[in-house]
Amino acid sequence: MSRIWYRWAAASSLVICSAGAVLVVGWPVLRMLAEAISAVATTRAFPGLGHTMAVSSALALTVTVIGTVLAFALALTARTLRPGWRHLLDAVLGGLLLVPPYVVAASVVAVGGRAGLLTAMLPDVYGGLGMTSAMVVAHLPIPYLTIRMAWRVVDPRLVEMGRVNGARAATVVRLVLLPPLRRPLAIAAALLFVSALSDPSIPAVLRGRVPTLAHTAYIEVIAWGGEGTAALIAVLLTLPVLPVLLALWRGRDPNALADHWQGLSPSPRLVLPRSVLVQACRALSVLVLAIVLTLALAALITMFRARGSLLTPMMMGAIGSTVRYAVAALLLSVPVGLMTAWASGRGSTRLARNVDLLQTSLLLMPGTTLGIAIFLAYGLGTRTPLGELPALVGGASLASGSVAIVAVFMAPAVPMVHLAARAGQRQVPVPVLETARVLGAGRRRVAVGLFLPQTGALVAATGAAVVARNIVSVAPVVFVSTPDAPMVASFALDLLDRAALEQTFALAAVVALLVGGASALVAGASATVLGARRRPA
Amino acid sequence: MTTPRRSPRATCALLVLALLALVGCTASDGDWPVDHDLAVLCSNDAEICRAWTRTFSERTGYDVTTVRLPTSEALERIRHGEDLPEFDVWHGGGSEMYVEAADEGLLASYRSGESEGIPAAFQDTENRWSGVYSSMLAFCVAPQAVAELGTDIPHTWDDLLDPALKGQISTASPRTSGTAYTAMSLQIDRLGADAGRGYLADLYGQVLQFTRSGTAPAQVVARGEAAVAITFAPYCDAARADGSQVDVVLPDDATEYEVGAVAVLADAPHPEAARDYLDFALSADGQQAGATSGIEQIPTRSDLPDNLAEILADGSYPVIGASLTERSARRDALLAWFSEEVER
Repeated sequence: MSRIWYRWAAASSLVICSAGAVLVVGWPVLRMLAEAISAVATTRAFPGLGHTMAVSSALALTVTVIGTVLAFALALTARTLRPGWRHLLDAVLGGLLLVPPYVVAASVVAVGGRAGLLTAMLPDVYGGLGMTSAMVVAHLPIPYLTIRMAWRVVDPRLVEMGRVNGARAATVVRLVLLPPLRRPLAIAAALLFVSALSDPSIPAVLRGRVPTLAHTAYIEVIAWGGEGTAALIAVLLTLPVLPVLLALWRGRDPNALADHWQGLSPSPRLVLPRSVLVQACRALSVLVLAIVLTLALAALITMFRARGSLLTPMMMGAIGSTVRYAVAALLLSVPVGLMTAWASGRGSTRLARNVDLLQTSLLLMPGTTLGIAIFLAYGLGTRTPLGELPALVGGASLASGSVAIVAVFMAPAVPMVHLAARAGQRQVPVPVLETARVLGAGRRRVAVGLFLPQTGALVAATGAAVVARNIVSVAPVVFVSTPDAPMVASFALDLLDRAALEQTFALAAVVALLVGGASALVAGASATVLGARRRPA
Repeated sequence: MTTPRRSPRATCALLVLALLALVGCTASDGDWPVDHDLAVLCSNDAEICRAWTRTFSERTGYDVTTVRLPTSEALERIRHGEDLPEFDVWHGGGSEMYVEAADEGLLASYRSGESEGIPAAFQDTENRWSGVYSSMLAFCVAPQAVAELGTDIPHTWDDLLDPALKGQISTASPRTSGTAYTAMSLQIDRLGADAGRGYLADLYGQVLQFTRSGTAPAQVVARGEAAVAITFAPYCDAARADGSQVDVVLPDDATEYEVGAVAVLADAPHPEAARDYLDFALSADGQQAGATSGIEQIPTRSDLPDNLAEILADGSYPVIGASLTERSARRDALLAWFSEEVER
């Protein structure tokens, strides 16, 4: 086929995908902005919202500072451990990604609530203290994994040289370990801040009488009637992301989040000079692990003490339904993400960079903002030039709300698949590619022989991550499903409203087993299938 | 010797098959959404909702979809669904919300043959809604928790302001729950507009955190997270029957009762089925069906034992309260006050 045909196909696929992005994200966000502006123009005053914003910002800032310090301590400790122990630490903290934030909050209640295991030893967990603790633990993987990835570029020989020459640990950290962290840490801190600010589920369990922006927006949406306030809050929640987006768009490197992913084998351990800093980091790491272990044990004990049945048919229905929606969204997202990645690769460097940045921007949008935007745009019937578009949100709307649920699941999935495929593409060395072409390899052969082995495993792993993320995430799905809609997050928040901790833990355990097992299966299958292809003949 | 090469099509097929298998393996007993015979919006405890619709399905063979929402949320949902009717019937929740809905033209008028058994006081004069159950507002108390706090079991509304009970009271948000709005409105009836709001501000200062659902506070107390819940008595009775150490305390100074209603929605997509459901909900069988869930509410039919009219005539409960229309009329102002002064 001619070169022109490929270009035409690439341009067409980008146009189609852009139209889809406009429908799912662009139009709802615009409508949300209009609603927020209209609310500000007509209402002018939102009593109490300023106080709520100040409290939320202070809470998120506290979580960011504590979370970043702890993540640094944990990552430094991990880097100084032998690979076996390091992997264990990675598994414990990475495993927290499979634990929804509301489960962490429920565990905090199980430990320090009025009927908790350690109530007598702890202060009241309802309010700022409990929310801060739960948010730090729930969102800790974000800065921890970012620092771990960023430090993969650190050459252990540099550290060793410093140690041999008598440098103190603080000097080694300042001169060797901190420089590669500047940008990733800034981005991780911003993401942590946004995650803490926009999470409605931990406040739903532990807020006491402390109001937060995300939970207020959640109540405004589920109680209906407060759309203007919800839109305004959604816009406020997006503001902290803007500096990150600006830095990404203005920076030379559009893949700041992905490019530090280097090295395929475990890094050697760093041997730092003995110092108070290293010992303090170890002590903090032990403290964090002890807290995580206590929370997990409390959840287990609470489950075992339960009266009556832990697993109900409704719960299993919610899990099955959520998995089906997540997989349906994945099956739709993979071809779209691969298509945009392929089309980006066919275009100019500038086009590819812009598409990458657009996908990264979509990925960074807070789930709460997206959920509220879709709720406002498609919660009611909409008049279009082609006729009336029925409501897409709610249990009794078109296809029982499936359209909105699949759309909110696809919104982060497409960028993840796109970025994974692009990262895979970049792993194919240009000289190898050029050689293959000079030797007469066709496009199909290049795609199958060179790109598939590089991108396949990454895309499969991303696919598993997408399904896992969609099953355990709270926002945006709770904004587009009613309490009785068969979705895990909505079902769990309904359980926690009535302090049903036992059933919540059982639900989380089944989901974690399912997601962990399926992810391992996908990773193993892709490694087997694609690994066979990568072996030399 | 060369390693056998697997075709890329086979690879893709394997991956797709793995994903499809995952979908198949995790499919629940439910099916993909289909157009059901009847959609019921239920504003009561989940178990009661299930008992109502299950009994109706068994008797009639209708396929019923139930979506459960707290009363205030349900009303907003119906209001916003005016252009796209989602539900056929609204069942459960305080009748003051039904008064509002009827005034806004959201309910259809239907005179059921079964409504003869229900006193006129518990029905709309234009047959747009009918009361089908009732509950008394009460305190659900955990005696052991109260004793540990070094105070006495509350018997009046003012007892709830005891400093020892700070952070130990659980109630729902009146923005999402009809139960909580009934309690809120009672204070205005009891003390007048200004003093009532003053009392409410003090009472809400004692609350641990507001739940979404009016049925939840009894379970929060049963779990041990609070000492006193403000809720309807049957929810506390159900928690006690379930083995929790909680007691129902009816306030000595004043209480209020809700009349839970049922109505056919004006834009019901399946009006015939909706009318059949209403006939069932008003009947003696329908009013007794909820009790199979373990939560026994007071029936409104005069031909059933211990019905609401009998209880009110007995005079043993200190029931006060404005008319439904009055309670309904002041709802927006009270909820706005709550949102601005208490919630944020």
